[in-house]
Amino acid sequence: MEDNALKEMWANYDKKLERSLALNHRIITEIQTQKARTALRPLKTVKIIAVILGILWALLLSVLVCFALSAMTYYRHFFVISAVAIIITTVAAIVAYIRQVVLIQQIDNSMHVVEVQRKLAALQSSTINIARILFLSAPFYTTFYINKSMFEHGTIGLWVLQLTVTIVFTIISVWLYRNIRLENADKPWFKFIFGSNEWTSVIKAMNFLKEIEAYEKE
Amino acid sequence: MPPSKEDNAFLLVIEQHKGIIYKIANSYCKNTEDRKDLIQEIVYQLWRSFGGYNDQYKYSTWLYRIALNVAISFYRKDSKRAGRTSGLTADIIIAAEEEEDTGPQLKLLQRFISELPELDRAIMILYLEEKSYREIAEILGLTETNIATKINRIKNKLKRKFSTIHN
Repeated sequence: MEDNALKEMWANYDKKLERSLALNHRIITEIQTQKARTALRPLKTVKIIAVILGILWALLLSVLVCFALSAMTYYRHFFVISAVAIIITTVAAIVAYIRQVVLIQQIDNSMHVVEVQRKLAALQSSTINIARILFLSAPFYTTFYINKSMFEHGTIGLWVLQLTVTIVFTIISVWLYRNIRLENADKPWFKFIFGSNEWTSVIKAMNFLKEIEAYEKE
Repeated sequence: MPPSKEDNAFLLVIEQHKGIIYKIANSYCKNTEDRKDLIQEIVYQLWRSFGGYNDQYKYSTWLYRIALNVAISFYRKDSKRAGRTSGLTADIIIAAEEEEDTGPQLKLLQRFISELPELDRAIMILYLEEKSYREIAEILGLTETNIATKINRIKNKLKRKFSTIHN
């Protein structure tokens, strides 16, 4: 198959399309008058729900922290410090997520294809950073419930269990924070954590980013 | 409200380039429903960008960049798109049945192109559209030398595929 044959074939295709394609002016007018905007760019409901739930979670914790502070005792330090740490990580994740969605929407598609695709893939890949931030809050879910009663009536067994759980959570979350990165995307543990459908597009973006970088170097 | 000059100019550009939009959508999307969504998305993005069109470039360069960017991004999105249409039920670009009757060789070429990686596919479409290396480099943002090397590699790959089928 020679070059000319390929081009000739494509040119014939062009001619056929010229004869067979027709424009639906009504739909284009709808797009021009923005009627179609909401239908064409549906922001996934699941993303909106995730942001709303995150905000509600941070608000609920803030209210509980305010209550705790209004009648502060020594034992409530555990709850207050844990809840504040969770609020900080949740807010950081929400801000990073919203910022990322806005930046993706603002990318100018009329720029060079390779440059736009690299920016998009890099932004989508950065979703993984939000997961890293959220993993950091995991140990605080093992300390917020420590209270006066545990100190007064807790057995050694209870405290050994409590310490073990907190230390294990801390080690795992710090390890994940340090190791969840592009270079490890092929590792089995990474695929296990991010194997669900919600992460498919992020993993695809990460792989595509690698491809683009290799492509430019070729 | 009567259409403005800008509305009519946009319509004219789409009319003149509908074949390109269709071919790009067809190369990145085989499923009919998804292709309809992709064409709508391309036209919508073109309209969004139309006011800021930079006449330093040709209309075709501007259009290829947007259409390819939207198509590649669309292609990489979640593959589970079943049932997710845009809400607009009609096609923007209507293809008569004749289009389906493209002949076995062209069908093979279309299949081989659709099997290429996303960026190689973009290069091959532009090459077959008889764009110069300079214009392809301008659209993609790579050097002309890089484009020349890649075109040779892709052509060899396609030739090998054709010869495998014919043998």
